[in-house]
Amino acid sequence: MQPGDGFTRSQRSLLAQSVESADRSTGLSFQLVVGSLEGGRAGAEALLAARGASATDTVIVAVDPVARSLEIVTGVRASRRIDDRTCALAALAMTSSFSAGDLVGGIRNGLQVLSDHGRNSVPRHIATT
Amino acid sequence: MASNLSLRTRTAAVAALTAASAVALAGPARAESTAPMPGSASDSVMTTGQALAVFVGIPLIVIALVYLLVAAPGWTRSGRADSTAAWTGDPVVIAGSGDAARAVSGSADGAPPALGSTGAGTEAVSGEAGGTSAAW
Repeated sequence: MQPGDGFTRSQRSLLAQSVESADRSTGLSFQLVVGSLEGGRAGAEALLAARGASATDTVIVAVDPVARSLEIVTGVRASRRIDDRTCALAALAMTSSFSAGDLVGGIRNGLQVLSDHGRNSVPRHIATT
Repeated sequence: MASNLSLRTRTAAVAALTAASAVALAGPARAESTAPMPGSASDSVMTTGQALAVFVGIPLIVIALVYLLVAAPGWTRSGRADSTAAWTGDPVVIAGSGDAARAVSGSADGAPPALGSTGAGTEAVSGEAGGTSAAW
């Protein structure tokens, strides 16, 4: 495989749809990074910091297929909606698929878990007081 | 999805399909051989070439067909089993509509960006970032 063709066009489109869907359902800003991640966790946190003012509402999902590592970093406000346990659950879903060789499916599963838990809550009852 | 099936599953599926086809076709063939038509050439002797074709050629064709059906999906990238191990692509960054729906690979000049070396603005986060780390 030549450098630069890690994903097919359809795979990239599926991932963009997943990110877009997670953004819409949570109101947060998701960023997916797939590739060699310098510095591991610190590198992922630096990516979050580079978002500037919007960093607090951002969720970074960084996957390094070569190092077989995954980092999920949530900004301060984002972490109130998507806590560390949810991130661990998403990471478990993702790494399970990655172990089976399904990179795209794993990323989509993880984004789905994160967006489900970070979804904007809708009141389903009428206040009676 | 069919492309996500393992090699063993695909092999089993193709072998089962082939066996079922053989059984289905063997019934009529056997019925014909047990009740030869009057004047038919059922007692004629098979030549060496015909015997080779039937007992060697046809099995070889079947084996080649099964191998082709099993191996062909793996020749395409979508059918390849382990896409994580095969990754040699440039870094890919995909962000949602909050970032103008950009889905970029590498930088504008064609060189891949060094992920983790982000430049300015690294001190912009206030408070503790959450999240988790994992490996597989």
